[in-house]
Amino acid sequence: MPRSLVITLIAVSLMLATAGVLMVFSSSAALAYVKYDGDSMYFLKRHLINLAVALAVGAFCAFADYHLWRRLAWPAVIVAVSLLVLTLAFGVGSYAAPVHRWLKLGRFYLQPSELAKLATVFVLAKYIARRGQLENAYEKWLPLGAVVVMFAAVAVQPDFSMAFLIAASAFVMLFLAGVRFRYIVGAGALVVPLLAIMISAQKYQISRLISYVDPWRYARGSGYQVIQSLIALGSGGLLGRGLGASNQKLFYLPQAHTDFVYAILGEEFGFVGAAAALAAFAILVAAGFKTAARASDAFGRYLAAGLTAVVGLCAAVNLCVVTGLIPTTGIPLPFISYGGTSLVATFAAVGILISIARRSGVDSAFGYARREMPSASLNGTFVDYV
Amino acid sequence: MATKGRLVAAAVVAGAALGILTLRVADLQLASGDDFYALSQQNRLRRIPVRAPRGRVYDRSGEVLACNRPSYSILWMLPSAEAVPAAALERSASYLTTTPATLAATIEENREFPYEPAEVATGLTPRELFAFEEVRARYPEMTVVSRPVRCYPHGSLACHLLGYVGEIGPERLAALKARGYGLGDTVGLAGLEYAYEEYLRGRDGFEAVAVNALEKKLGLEYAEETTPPRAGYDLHTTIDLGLQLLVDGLLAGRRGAIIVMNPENGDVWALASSPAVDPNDFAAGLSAARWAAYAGAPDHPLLNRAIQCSYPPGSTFKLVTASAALEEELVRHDERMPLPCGGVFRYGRWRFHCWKRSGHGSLDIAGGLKNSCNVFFFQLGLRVGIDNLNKYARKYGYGAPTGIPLPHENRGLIPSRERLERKWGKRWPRGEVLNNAVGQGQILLTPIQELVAFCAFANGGRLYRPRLVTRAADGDGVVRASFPPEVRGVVGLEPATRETIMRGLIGVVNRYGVNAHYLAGKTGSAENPLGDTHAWFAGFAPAYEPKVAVCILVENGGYGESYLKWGKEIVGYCRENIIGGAAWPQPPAGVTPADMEKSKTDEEVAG
Repeated sequence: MPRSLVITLIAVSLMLATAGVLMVFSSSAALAYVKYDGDSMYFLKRHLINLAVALAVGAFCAFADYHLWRRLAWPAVIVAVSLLVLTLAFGVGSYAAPVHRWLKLGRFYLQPSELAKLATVFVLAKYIARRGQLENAYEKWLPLGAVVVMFAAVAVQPDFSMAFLIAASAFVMLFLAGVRFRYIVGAGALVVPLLAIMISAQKYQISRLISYVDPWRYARGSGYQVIQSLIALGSGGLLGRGLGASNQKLFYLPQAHTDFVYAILGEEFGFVGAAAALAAFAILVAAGFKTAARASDAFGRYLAAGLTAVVGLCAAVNLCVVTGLIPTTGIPLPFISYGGTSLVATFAAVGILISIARRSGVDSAFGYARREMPSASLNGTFVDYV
Repeated sequence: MATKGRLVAAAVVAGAALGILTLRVADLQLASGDDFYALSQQNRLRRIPVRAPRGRVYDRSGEVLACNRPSYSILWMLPSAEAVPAAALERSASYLTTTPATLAATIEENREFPYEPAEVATGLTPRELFAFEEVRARYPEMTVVSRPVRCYPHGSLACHLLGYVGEIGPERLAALKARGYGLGDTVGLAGLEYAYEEYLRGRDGFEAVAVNALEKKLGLEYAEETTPPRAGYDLHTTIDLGLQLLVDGLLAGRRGAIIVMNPENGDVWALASSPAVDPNDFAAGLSAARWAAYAGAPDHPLLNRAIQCSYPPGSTFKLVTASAALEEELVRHDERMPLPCGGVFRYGRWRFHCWKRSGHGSLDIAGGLKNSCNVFFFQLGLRVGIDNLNKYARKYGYGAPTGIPLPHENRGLIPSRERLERKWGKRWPRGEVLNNAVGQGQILLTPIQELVAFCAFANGGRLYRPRLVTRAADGDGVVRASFPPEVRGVVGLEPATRETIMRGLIGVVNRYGVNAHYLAGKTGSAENPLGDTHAWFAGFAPAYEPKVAVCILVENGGYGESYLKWGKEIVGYCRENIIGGAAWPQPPAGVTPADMEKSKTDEEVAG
């Protein structure tokens, strides 16, 4: 039932966001106290501002017709690429690593790669929905070229995990679109060695890989973070230590409030809380796929699938890092990790999903009763509300 | 459209990922939760190393020669790079009057592992310490620790004997790593500090403290995790502080060495080498400039001249020549050499001079020793020959380390037929033995070898290994190791030989009228390529029952006789303060030093 789908999407994302507020405060208070002269709510306040912006953006996306994003697909690509280029020139990194991932805007930081993620989904959804009616080579290859450009721009920041996410999301969309396996395999055969070469060119990537194989041997060095993460998660036990009682957030686990917030969640709320968070993400992904399946048109279907893939893959990669299943890499946990751009992008994705769900074929609650339109009529000038 | 089927496939993959993650989290939290909880508890504890003080070094009556003083350092306590807040770095840097960048570099440099406390300031003065304590609440990222630093209360006194300590170097660390040494540890680098490292070094402890988010100590809740340090064992040495002060003072401003020993057991009462350095400089960490000054000084103050430098012995070696001649029965006790001393001795094309150009006339062996007549000993040397000279030099312990428990002892050099043949071939110059007979030529001894040899003569033949440390004891006085006197060999002289030579040695001292203590010995003025002769005196007192032996060497010091008065002063000190005036053996009734020099044979000759 689409209405229940909308409610599910809203309820799950608000629950996850609430957990995020709690966890960001709990895991960042001590760090903020030390780092910002006793202002233990420093990160919480910023997170709440981010969340307000994210909710506003999400509400706008939910109420706006999702076909807007078809029209904005190319502008989004252009903005994303421009910002990525700007980031390469003026971006700032974190800590000591020579990376350029953020643009500093006043007191806030913008992560253009998050926008690139969404732009990839927009442009691919538009393209896949119209396949079969593509008139020339230019129309056929330009969207794929745009995705490759964004992938490359993110990869050279360098931010391999985000580049990987972009590629993987594109892969999921193409897979769902029914692209023949040999094309997908061919593209994979091209991308995987490329990633391998880029990874091996970076010293810190190598040490991450080595410490992934045997983190305990490098417990004091490159394996430190993942070990501290496992300690945090593991020491939570069944019921956890209770909200605020994490020990690992007291500087033992670096990035406790950003990429490793799930470890603190597991420490404070135990297996019960950790499993609940997993379940919430699973429900969200299921609802996203359901939205895709019920979308009233092909664009909506691929848009929903792509956005679900982006959020779901992001969560999966982050959770695998925190649980030590894959090497350490910097992907935030949607909804929960501290980080404004990610939060806004996530809520934008959920908002668009809601918009798609609202307009699905059998959804009449909002005054729309629309059959699935033939793809041909969805070209360009579609306006579906007054 | 294949979408539906593929959507299902995607959902299956997503479901599988969810399943794997759930299992993983369950494994971590439910199956291994307790283990991780234990690890997490360890995280709350900071192990702050507590340095063990090195054992003290005492003189023979319990005076302190080396001890420890506390030195205060500031530790940087924040563990992770992420948590080093710019504000904290800035305020701490400004407190330590440095820049944040320098401070950050110092932190990274001074810790072996990331996330461990790092030293950012060392050697705080009491004033700086109190100043910091007053404001430390404002700097939660820093704390003060104290560590013991080696201290030598008498400065450069006996510095070559005591040695010095410093930070362990990479080679030594590699060798000692298995015994628990780590980066930045203090280790003995010379002298007793080096030789008795295993006793002096204690075992570092750890203070486990629970810390809160600000790395402030919350208190010692975890006593069972705390290991107290064990202080190193104290060394009780044979050194006499007063005597050491005396001999150090005598040598001040000169290059040379003085060693005083108990001939009855090999205990070293004083060992001085000059010029000296202040070992306190090393303990606090030597500046590069200071090190360059020490290492590059033309008079090499770091060398322990008493054991690490060998010199031509000059006439003091006549003890060996005389012993060899008498023991091998190459000369009778009252025999006079065919050629009376006329100041010069011709051998082949060569002319060998006596020190006294006007000559000594006709002498027997005791007279030859007393007057140190070269012409007499040239003729004796020809009879003894290079092989016997080598044999008796070895008996007296020359050419081999004495085994004094100090590092880098020089073994010296004694002449031998093999060596001469290696250098010159079968036609080695036979006149070389003339030089060797009077302690010149290819012959080098260390002062400690000289002293051990004279002690052996004095005590009837026992060649002692010099002893510096009698025992190592812990803080409660429980003896952990004791080092008894050790006899390394026996010279084995006939009593008649000893008596004859003794008469000569007493005569040496009597000639200069300084013999209130019945001192016997031999002076030497060793020619060398470096300028004025090296002055030697080796002797013992009282001659009838030796209680103290002394060896004096002054580089380029001129004539050995000039330092007899030092010998008298040293023996006088020992008689009063070490042996004790009453315990000083009384000479046989009515005998004066001059009487002891005379013997039956002498009187018969005179008569």
